Amino acid sequence: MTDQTRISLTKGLVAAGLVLYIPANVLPVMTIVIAGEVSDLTVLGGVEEFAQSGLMGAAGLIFLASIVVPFLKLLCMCWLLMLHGSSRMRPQRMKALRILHQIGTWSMIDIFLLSVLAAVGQLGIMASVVPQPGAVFFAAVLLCTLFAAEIYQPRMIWRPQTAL
Amino acid sequence: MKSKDPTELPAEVEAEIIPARRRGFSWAWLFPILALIATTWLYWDNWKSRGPEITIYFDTAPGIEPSKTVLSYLGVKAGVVESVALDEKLEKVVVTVRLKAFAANLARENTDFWIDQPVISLRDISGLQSIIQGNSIQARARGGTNAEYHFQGLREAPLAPLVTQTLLVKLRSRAISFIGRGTPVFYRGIKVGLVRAKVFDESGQPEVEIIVAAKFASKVRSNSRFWFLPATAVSVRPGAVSLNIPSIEGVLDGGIAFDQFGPDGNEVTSGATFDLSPDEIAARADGPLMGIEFDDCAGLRAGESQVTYLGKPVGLLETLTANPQTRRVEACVRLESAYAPLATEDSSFTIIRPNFSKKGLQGLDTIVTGSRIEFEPGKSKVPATQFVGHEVHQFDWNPFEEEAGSTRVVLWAGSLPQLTAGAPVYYHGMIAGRVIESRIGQNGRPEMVVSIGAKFREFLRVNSRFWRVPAALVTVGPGVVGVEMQGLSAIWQGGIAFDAIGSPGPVAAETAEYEVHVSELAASAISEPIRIFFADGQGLLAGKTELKYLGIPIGIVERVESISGKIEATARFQPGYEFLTRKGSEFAIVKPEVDLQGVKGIETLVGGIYIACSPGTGSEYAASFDAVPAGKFALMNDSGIEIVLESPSTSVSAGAPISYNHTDVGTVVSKTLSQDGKRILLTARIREEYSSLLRSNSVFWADNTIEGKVWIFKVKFDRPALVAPNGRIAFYTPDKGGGPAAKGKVFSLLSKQPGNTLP
Repeated sequence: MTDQTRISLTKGLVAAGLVLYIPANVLPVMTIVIAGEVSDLTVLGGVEEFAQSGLMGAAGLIFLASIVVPFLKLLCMCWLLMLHGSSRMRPQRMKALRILHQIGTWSMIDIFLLSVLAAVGQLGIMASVVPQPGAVFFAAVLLCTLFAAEIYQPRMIWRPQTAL
Repeated sequence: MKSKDPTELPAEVEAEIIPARRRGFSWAWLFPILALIATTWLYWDNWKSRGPEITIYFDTAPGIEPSKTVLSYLGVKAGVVESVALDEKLEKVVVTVRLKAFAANLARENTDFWIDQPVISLRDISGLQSIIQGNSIQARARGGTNAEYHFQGLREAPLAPLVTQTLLVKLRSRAISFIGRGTPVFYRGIKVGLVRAKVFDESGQPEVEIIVAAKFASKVRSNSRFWFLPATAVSVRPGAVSLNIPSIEGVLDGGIAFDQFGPDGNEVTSGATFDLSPDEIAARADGPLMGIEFDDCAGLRAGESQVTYLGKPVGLLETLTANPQTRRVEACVRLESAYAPLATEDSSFTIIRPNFSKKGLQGLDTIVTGSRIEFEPGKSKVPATQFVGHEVHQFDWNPFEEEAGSTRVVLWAGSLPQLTAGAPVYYHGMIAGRVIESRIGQNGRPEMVVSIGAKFREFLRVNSRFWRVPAALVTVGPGVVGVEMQGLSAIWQGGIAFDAIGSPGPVAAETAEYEVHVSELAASAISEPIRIFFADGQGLLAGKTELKYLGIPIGIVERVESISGKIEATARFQPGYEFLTRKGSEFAIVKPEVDLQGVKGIETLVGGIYIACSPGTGSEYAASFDAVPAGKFALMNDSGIEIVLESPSTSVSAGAPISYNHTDVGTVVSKTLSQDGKRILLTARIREEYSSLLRSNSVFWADNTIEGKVWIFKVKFDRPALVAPNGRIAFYTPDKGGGPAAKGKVFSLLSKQPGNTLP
């Protein structure tokens, strides 16, 4: 894979991630039915639910992990791509990419939790958790950022841009 | 930067890069394009499935929540509530529902919407689903064609929500009590519809609206009659009371039934009005109104009392009016149309009331059903509507007619049975005659005159015996208690039966007189009397106490007298049992005995005590006997070896079982003191089949322990007084030595089990 391909692939993935980020946050991620009460939860709705029930810590954590972090990853990738080929802030870019790689390890935790919840939370008529299309989009956003960060390699920060 | 130098780089390199960049460009940008397509498709699909928005106004909307509550049609999610709001006057709830595209046709005029919530009433449980899934809005399309987006929600779920083709019929009644919404409507026992509503018509009369399913609509005819079906009906017939429950559904609040009597009328259209009668009889009585005058209407009830013809209900008493001028009561009745033509000018109407008289019970059924009016059609052909009623005393409706050629027989007894005229006289179970009258004869004794039919005349012999047949006969045998009913007519009063006991004698003369015996046994006990002397005659009853041989009643005590400190019972046997009067025969009173070891003579609890007989072996016959004590008698028939057990002191008493290796082989018969008063002598009897176990060297001991097994532990109880109140005796015979034990041999009774006998 040439560096050129890597660059365009990263750009494509970041763009796709930005597009998918909207439905991922607007569409419900899951439907929780507890004792007849049906609630469709979006990611933000889930945060709200936690905040309302007083679990500010949990709400903050989910808000960070599910909304802020993916968005920041996308922004960060945009920044890296924009500065690609220039020699400005190379150490900072390097550090940012390293952080992205490290965070990337944990980014699918939300989807993992949801799949566990959907599998376990089948208590018949009393309670059930059903994943909704939003979850697919959410997973797609995370995959996009993950692959984008993986494909854009640190050495490409240091190499002078050949053509753009 | 070097590569941009045009002098150093060949042109081909430049040309090579451009297509590569183009290829990379188009390929990588597939991702965002795919993402865009997926997103737009999702949104477009969502938008496409959106149908029109409708607004429903509800009086109350419990449990309706925006974006959660669904609109369900035929069980399918056909829309979602978008918003819930109140109107400006705060009177209605405005619910906005976004229909799905496929359900767009629900937005038509006439569509009904209601909120499905759990309803739990005695009759039904509906909306169970909503308990689990929350309330929902339900819809029912009724085939409207014009589009409509604003609806008035129904207050409650409509009945038969999905049946559109129904026949609506209105029923009028003076009072509609137990009928409610959803009460079933039956046609010949089949549920064909439901009560839709209880309303008032324009004139303020209560009215029931019922709907009849389309496929049964043709059953409603212009001449159909509707009536209330009570929740449970108790019907009383002579000899039977039956509880009639039309259906489980109807148990709670009854129902409405309809049918037409007579030829089918025309079919009716929706909205037809009928009368609702209080019951089936009233519904059937649809003939012209007829007036009857009675002196006294006691027992009659307007709207309830029936008019019967030969006992069959054919009409109903509608109104009763007392007329002060004539001092008579005017009753208005209606007959069923089939019987109405029978009411001609010489017809009669008679009030039937329960009547207790010397002649017996009459109109007994009316005790339960209430008085009724019996209708008797006349012979005339001229129809009439006004009649003069009668009452039952003018009208002997079940007279006993004495058959021609029958014979009158005079019966006498010390005390005559309480029989009224007309009571049956049986011969071998057939009614051979009737009781004519009871009277006091010339010599002052009570007499009863019976008439025996000609057919049975030849069975009336010189030696015929008459006896009383009780209304219900309780038969008591050994261990058996049975109740016999002697036919329905005899239940009220019983009767008299006769038969020749033994070989029939010559036919009796015309003016024969007979004694009436208290029972068949007494009548058939015709042997020479014997006398039995009892030390204790408690419970002996003359004419009642039976003599039994092997449990079979074979005789009866005729007289009980006390003579010089003893009770003398005079008894007779049935023919064929004279062998019981041989010398040596034994008689003993059998009484109920209840103790912890069991119950003996249980049949005597019901049948009273009896005298058990055991034939003697003597060749001569005797006429008087001394009774033996009951305890001794019980063993008379037991064969076995009698031995004596001797002990200085023991708690074992008569009745104690004797066991060998945990098997009962005998019983202690009696407990006496030795002549010097120092020892206790127990007479014991070992049963014949076990007599070989008894040898001269057998060892006896009082077995005061009882062993049981609890799981793996052996449990021993000392002095199990509860289990064996008389005590127990066990014995053991060594394998070797000792000859056969002779009758009456004395063994000593040890107080506990000797060690050498332990297994």
